Amino acid sequence: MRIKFSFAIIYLLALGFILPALAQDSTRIKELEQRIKTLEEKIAQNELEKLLQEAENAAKEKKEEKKIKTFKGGQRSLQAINPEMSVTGDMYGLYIGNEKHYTESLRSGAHFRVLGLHLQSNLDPFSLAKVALEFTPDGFELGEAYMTLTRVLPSVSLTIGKFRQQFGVVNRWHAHGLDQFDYPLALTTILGEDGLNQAGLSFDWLMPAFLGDANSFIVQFTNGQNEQLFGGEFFSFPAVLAHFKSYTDLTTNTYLEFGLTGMLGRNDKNGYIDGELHTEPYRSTKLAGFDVTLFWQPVNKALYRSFLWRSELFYADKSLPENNRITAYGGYSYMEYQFNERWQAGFRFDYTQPFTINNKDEYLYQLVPYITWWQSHWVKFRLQYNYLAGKAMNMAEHFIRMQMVWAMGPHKHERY
Amino acid sequence: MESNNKKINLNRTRLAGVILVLSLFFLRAGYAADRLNVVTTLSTYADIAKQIGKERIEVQYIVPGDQDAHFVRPKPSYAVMLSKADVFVTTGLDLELWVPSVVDMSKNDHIRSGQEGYVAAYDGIELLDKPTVLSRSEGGLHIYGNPHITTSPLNWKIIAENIAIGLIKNDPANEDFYRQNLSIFQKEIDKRLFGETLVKLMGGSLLTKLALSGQLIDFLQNKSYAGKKLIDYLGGWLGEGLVFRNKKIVAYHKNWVYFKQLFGLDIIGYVEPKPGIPPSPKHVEDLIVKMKKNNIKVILAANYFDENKVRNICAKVNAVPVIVPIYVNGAPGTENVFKLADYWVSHLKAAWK
Repeated sequence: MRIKFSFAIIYLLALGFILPALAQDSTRIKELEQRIKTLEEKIAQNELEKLLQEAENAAKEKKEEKKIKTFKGGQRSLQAINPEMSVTGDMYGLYIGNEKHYTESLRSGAHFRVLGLHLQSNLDPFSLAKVALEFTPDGFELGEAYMTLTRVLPSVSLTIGKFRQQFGVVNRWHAHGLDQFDYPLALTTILGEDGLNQAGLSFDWLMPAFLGDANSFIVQFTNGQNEQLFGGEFFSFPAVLAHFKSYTDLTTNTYLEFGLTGMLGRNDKNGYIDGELHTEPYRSTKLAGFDVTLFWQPVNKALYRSFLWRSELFYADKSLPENNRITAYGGYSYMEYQFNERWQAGFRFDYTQPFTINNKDEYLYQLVPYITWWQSHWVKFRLQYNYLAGKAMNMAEHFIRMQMVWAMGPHKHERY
Repeated sequence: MESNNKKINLNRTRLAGVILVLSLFFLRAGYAADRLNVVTTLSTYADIAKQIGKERIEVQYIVPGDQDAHFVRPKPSYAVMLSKADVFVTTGLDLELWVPSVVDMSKNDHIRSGQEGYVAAYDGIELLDKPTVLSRSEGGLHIYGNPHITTSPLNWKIIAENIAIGLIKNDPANEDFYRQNLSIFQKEIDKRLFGETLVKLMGGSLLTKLALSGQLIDFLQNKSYAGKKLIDYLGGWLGEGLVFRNKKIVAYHKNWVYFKQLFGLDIIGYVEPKPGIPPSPKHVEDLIVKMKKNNIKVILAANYFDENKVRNICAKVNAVPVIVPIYVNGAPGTENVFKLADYWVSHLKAAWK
């Protein structure tokens, strides 16, 4: 019994010593585990930091180029702010199927129509300028030269200079940018061989749209320099043109646009020529025009497919001395289809009265089929046939032209 | 008397109706007036702008997602759109050459180049393909470098930053709002481009730097972390794109150069002989020979190009045409930039399965 008691005492004493020691060990193990975890995390952190640093270095590697600097001044190398410049060439081969045109001015053969030099640039934060110089075998001509103040009133810009006027649509374009080789017969017959291109002012107002998706109203005050319609070299009084345009997106791919134009000017001669005073009583020229365009182009295949229908009507009423007057009307209509990236074909019909007195029963018409091949956006070739006939001429005329148009530099058309 | 009362009640009802309609109209007008009117050239810019400006802006774009931005006619309806714009976002390079005409037509000086309302999306992007020779013999030349900047999600982050700057300049009172949305957008791009795990490990900004320097994949392949190669942590579009990394392909036009750089594609030829020059039969013949010789299995083309041409060439060499939209909304399933990149990656992956 005593022995048992002694063992119990010893056991209890041992427990008293061992248990705390065991508990201490367990805590120590936990502490050690925690330290290992912390160390592992630290190693991982170090590894990551090292990695990130390496990544930073790797990211910089490409850029590091050690060079000894050379200092340069650019005061005499400011050509980068020269105007944007481009050159266009317009040449054609002509075959005339009628002997009477074997004249000096119109012969079968190769002809260079025009070399255009086009410049444009912003002038300052408020205005820009465009210049088109035309060099022909006959000499030099100022095609257009104007500056535009981009906003003189809310939604109104002002153009000042010499410009092709907004009489309808096609009159505004340069010859090399036309869809056919030539301007429509009615335009050249009624507005003059080169169309309306006079010096003055043009106010262009983007109106709040009330008819369709966009409306604009253009008013132009110009010299009456056009020889056929106005005073020509005797110009002293401004001619006024007003053009209203309504544009509608029928679908994403199709738009319809129509325009109305009216113009009024004087054609009486007043002023000195060679020291001699000319004074004539007031005589006016009135013009009117209507244009319509329907254009389809699937937006996701804009490079390959399109269809265009465009028509314009022109009317002129010019008072002449001794109560004479010329009234003439005419128009054209053409359709064009783009088959693929390179080929377009179209057909234009022209009709006009000659711009002469007593033209009541006289008329001219022209059939113009054509096909255009784009070598690239900067070089195109066109084959066009003109059949010209009518009561105002004795015999029909046939012209076949092979035209080549090219553009050097950043030349771009701003048509839509 | 009763009839008069009825009339009065009817009139009151009508009056209340009119007042309600007018109130709604003015509320709506007031609400619209509070919001910035943003117009962008590309649908991709519009989507990014919307993600930054959210309900504080109204966004419209000019070029649909399936149209070639080079060949857009400067229509008057675009001028009307721009005439009311507070902010105009365009690439700012020679991609949209029609932009100056439309801006001129709009008579809105606030959105002209250099003005507060003008945002050039390219600013800050390191442009690739800068020409060494400026000559039209190179076809459709881009004098500042390749302007098709929207084909890389990395560029979207910079574009977003530029758009945010434009919004803040025109609506400084909401700067914090725009900056917060910009940060969310950029983080989302990082997550979707590199995968969440890698972004947590290395951070989106560092990964972006590595990707821009062209070192990302080499680095990830050569370095390890926690006993695993870093490349194993790569997820997102780039992770998925490992399937086609270093693969040789043919493209239609040079508009995938930023995508190619990021995803490591090897474009060995183009359907166009030079940018903007239509392919001649001779060129197509030569291309077919080249594709056969190099065992090319994919032609990558934006969906506004001649699909038949692509399919015909593919048929002759047993390759897969991958015809995808280049901009947001260019096809169903590409309603935002995230879906657009999903679309590109999944279609290219599928081509190698």
